[in-house]
Amino acid sequence: MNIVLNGEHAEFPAGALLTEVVECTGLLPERVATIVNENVVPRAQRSVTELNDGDIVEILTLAGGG
Amino acid sequence: MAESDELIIGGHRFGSRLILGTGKFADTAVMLDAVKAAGCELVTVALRRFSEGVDDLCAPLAECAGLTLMPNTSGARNAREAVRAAQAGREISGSPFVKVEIHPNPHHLMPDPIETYQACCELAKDDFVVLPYIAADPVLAKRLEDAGCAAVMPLGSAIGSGQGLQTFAMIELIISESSIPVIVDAGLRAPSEAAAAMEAGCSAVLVNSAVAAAENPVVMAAAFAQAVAAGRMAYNAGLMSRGTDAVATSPLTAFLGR
Repeated sequence: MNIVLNGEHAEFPAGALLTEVVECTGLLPERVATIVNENVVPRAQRSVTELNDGDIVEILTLAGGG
Repeated sequence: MAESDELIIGGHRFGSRLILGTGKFADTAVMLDAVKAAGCELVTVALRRFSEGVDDLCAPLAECAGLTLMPNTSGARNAREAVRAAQAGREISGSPFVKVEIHPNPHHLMPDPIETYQACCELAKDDFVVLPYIAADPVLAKRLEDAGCAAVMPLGSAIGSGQGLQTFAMIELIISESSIPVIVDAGLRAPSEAAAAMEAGCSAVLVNSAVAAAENPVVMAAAFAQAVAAGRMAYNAGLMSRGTDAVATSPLTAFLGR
């Protein structure tokens, strides 16, 4: 299945969970925020959030800003 | 006086009245040194897509004891995007603070008052501690206070412009009408401007470029901290009233002449 991960196409097995996508970044799960199709998915719900073909996933971290 | 003179925003207490932005620094180490030199307890951060090899600020900032993070909604072009950014920021920072900034025009980066108001109404209902970045508009500031914002942050001048307190008269009006903290955010260049804002009764000052773009950001951070503290001390001490006529400070009785 194909998803759009941070603006780029990425391939994951059908039925992949959001937690598995977060694991690919190598970042600690509590240090990222996840958005699927414009909805923020809280940390506790990532392991029960099954992704679908065409989903748009954003994984965000903190950066410097004013 | 000093011990009880805390900054209280939405029930949260801070000893420092200088809020520092973490953007534009040459590197993370300099930013962290500046944060420490400023003695600040509240810093703004931004959200960014994860990308390999780019510094993630979460870990280094977490190591600074006593620091509260305030994610901003920079990049949001409307209320809907700002609310989403705020929710994402809270996920990472674990902090209820959010700086709402919605500036769709990259030329002047002036905040959109309508979208900002809508976002603030929604976020205040969702238990965020909401601090909107706004134009120095006393009517909008009051409406945002009524909507449940914890503070308002009128701009001194355009973000990163270093033009100082162009909006000083309007900021004075906002202060006189406001019962929540008024924090000058954006446009400052020199510590003297921060002191002037504090003398006028601002509750705090938020700077980023003025520190990050200084030749020596760490020393400039310390300079801003002293200016903010001096300005606050002067405000608490009560400035003398302004007059048009000279009032002699020495006796003028003639004893040198005849």
